[in-house]
Amino acid sequence: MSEREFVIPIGPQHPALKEPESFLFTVDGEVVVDVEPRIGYNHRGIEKAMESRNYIQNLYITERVCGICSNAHQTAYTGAVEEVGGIEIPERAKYIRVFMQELERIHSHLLWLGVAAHEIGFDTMFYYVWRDREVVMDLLEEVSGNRCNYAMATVGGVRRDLPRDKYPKWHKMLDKLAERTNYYIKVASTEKTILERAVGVGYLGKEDMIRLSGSGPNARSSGVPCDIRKLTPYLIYDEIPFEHIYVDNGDVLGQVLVRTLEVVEAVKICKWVLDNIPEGEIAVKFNPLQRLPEGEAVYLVEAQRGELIHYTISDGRNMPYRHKIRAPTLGNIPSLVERLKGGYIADIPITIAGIDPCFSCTDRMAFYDEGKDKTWTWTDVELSKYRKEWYSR
Amino acid sequence: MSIEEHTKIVEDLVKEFGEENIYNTKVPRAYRAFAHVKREKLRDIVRYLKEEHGFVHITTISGVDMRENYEVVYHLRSEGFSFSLKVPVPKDDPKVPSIVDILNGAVLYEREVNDLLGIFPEGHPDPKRLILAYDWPEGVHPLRKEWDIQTIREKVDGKRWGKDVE
Repeated sequence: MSEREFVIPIGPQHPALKEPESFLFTVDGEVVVDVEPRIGYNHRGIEKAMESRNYIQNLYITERVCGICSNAHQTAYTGAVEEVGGIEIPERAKYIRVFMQELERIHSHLLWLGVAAHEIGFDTMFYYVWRDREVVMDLLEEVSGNRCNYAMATVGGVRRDLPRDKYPKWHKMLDKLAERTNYYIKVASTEKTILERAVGVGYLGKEDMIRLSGSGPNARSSGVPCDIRKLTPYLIYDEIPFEHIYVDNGDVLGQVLVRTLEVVEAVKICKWVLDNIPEGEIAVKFNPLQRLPEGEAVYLVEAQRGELIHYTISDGRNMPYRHKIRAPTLGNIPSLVERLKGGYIADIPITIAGIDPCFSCTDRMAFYDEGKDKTWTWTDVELSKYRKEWYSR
Repeated sequence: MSIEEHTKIVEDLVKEFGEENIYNTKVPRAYRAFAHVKREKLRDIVRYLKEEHGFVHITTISGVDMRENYEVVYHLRSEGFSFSLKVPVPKDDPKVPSIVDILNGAVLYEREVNDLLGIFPEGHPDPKRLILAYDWPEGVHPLRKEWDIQTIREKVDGKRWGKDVE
């Protein structure tokens, strides 16, 4: 490290979000030279806990891996268990799982859009987006009874049906979401406040993204067509007509575009499901004491944040021998590190928020100046003040 | 792509490296395949798959304690085809060759396996602790089957749960 470079630790504590994470930034003046991530502050031993609980108990553990992608984790978990056990779920259950997954995608992407608008200092848009997000939250509550952790999927099917008399109302709510999202796409691609802070920020090209195994909207914003729903279709995604969204901007604007366009596609999928859902049973019976045959299965799901894998090994008991989960954020950290290098300190918040991680970095930052041997700490208010001053120069 | 094409890729791999280096292959359905791989040949096989069949994406690396030995499972993906390479690792020599220089995306996964199962990636550029706390005792790898909640608790906190607690 040269004399000009300083180390800045950022994180790990953030009181509002559930995934603390720490980054050590080496900076040369305003420019980030190197980044070292340190994770594990929220390691809860879920994989170990799953080895001593049966397949039904584990449903509720997997759902609590993450509050935002809870349904994606359940879809992947039940899919993996059903594949090991050779359990064929009813057709109607597959449609309901897809419906839940897409509603969750809408809510997560809109949440992200609000946070991103806030990080670039455009709080008007933050309030607007989160107001409109309430539409999909109400819809989720009406379907499942909960605003998060919906507890819809179970091994062998789903737990609640979609009542047919509600469909016209849900269609109207989905129309409203599509209309508002189209408005935000227009705003994001024309409004100067966004373009100034998003174009060229946190750039990463296609080759680097493939090299670092990024996934999800993070990779699709760099032009990598990597949607698991298209590549290895699960449930009924191969029957549903929807676009494979990817743009080659590679920066924060690309991420805004990918996510907003995906919301529009998700609305289309939800409406298609409501129009085409077949009648029938919603679950086959699965007993908590039921043993599964020996075997293993890999189940890939396109969660909101990227590729999610559940890998389960059964040794013939009624609980998994080993269950491995890899959530999308871990897979996206190497590419995030590459996105941050060469950027400015003031762009750290939006670049980190750009991959939609389960944490935000900005609440408290400790700055360590090696040469002068003094430490100082910034709160997010001071950091945003610094950000404003930096950008108004 | 169909199951026939995926089976063909696996057969081609067996032909290239021989039955003694890649065995127990199975293709349970389209888009999925599993195979056992000799530890010495892992790097060659990963490089071959990357260059010849487009397996440029690594989804994750899982570590499994199979009681008589460990298994490190490399989940590679080419487009939609997910191929899991299982590498048996003897318990008295818990090491695997690092593949970070071939697939850069593996950089965090190898450190994760080193933390949770104590299988050291030889040749990793920065094999530091990733997930476990800084003050976690050396040699306690929670996903090994010999550690359960009681023994970990005893080692880390020096006391037991349940009846023994006063």
